[in-house]
Amino acid sequence: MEKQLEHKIKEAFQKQDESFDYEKKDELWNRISGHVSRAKVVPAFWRVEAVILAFKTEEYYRFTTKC
Amino acid sequence: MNTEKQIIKCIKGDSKAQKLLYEKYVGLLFSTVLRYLKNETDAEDIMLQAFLKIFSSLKEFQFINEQAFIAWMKKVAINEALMFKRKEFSMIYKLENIDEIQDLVQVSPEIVNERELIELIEQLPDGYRTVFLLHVVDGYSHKEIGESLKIAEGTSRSQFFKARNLLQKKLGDDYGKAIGT
Repeated sequence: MEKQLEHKIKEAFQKQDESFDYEKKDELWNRISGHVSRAKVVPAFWRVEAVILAFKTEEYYRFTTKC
Repeated sequence: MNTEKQIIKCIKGDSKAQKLLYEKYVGLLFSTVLRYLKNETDAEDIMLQAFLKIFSSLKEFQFINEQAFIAWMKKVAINEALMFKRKEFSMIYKLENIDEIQDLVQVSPEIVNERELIELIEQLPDGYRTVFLLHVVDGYSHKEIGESLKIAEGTSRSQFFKARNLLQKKLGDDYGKAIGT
């Protein structure tokens, strides 16, 4: 009997989850996408930095080998 | 677009695919988180963290079918909610005594429908409710509950049985009706 009650409770919550309409979904998406795009910008910045550093290192290497 | 293709696009950083995935599951996940937190503002913060974690961990997820994918996302969201609860209510999981809980609304004889069953669960004390929901609705074992809430497995069991006893007490003579027998 307990199992039957628990099964009924589980079904009730599952139905509630499936039919739940979240009204502020656009506002929340704006927050999420803001975080996601910031997270993309940071690695991009470091990739550019790495390329610049590689060029500078190469130039320095050439300079020191010429001397 | 099927879910697996959508996941692959999300892993590649396609923001359109991420938005579609979000729109498809936000209601389901929000409802899941809300039953543990009972506060929309907290639930929104948890949802933000949960979706960021979902998007960043997608590459580690092995797609089998949509049901497994939903279960995985729910687990991520629930874990975020439980982490928040652990910080906010570190003392909440102490053993609660049934005798102290007298403020639950007595259930009317007609209580047999799903909405009323949900309301009855929502009235349970926080510790009981959390363990009961994790075990019955979201399928956690007592071992998993213990690990998630940083409590002993035995504590999880006792909270669960106390929650069950309290429910039976509240349902009283209508227990048979409530389970549909």
